[in-house]
Amino acid sequence: MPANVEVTTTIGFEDLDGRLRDAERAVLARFERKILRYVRGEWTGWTYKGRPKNAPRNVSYRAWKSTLQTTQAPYSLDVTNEARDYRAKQPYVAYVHRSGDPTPEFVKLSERIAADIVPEMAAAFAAEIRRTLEPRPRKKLRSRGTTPRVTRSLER
Amino acid sequence: MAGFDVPVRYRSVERHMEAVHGSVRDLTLDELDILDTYAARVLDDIESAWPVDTSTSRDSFFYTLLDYPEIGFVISNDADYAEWIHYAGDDTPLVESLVPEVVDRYSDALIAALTSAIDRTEERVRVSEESGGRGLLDIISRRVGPRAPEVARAG
Repeated sequence: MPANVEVTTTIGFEDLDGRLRDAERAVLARFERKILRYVRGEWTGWTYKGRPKNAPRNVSYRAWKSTLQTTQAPYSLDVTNEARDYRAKQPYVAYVHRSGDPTPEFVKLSERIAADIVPEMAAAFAAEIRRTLEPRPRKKLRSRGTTPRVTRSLER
Repeated sequence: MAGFDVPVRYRSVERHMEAVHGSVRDLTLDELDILDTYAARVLDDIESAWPVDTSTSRDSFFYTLLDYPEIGFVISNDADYAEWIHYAGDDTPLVESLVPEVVDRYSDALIAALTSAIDRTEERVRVSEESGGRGLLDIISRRVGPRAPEVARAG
């Protein structure tokens, strides 16, 4: 089983295409933040049995991130975790589970998000779409090639 | 790979921690939550000010927290050309203008909130040690701060 975690929620509506309007995107962005804060809030209470005192903690907590794609349908929300074990530098989050429960924790979180948050998100998004419904022009993505990645470090 | 990363490291907070703790230690969950909250605000403001007619780049932002022993976060954008995007009439890439400006907008408040949280943690460590506890191990080995509220069921 891959050890990184990636949970993708796809949002598709028939006849809806092209870039979302700001108000529509804002609805999904609000739930993106809600889901990420929920995951981080639940990703606590781990016992670091046997871990040396000075070894890092909360490595996987820090590694939760989300991205939202609203440029073309189907729109998607990704929640990922690519944390690396502090010793072996290998991904491990997919294996993390609570004591006495073999189910990986990310599986349980995914199920709760799908049951408790995604329906609310879909309803809010649909309401915003209905509110501003009008014909949308189709959009195309054009590749403009690649350039070296830029890093700008700031210190405060 | 194209796009950009802007690591924002709060050395002032690291120095404060060294002064009160003796060395840089891992952040507690309360302290991480503060850092995370401000990183999210910085990202929200950057996204809000990013030009809307820029295809996928506005959708390609994300942030991650720096790893111990560094305190801070990284603002990233994976879009191919995001590092070149600028406002009309100004050739300065936004990664060099908007991003640092938004970081500066929140830095004073972040530094104040985080150093206060660190001071509170150190006080709890001191109290723990004085009452025979394990000090920092007692603070970081249990849930710190309020549990996330129960998610309400839709409908």
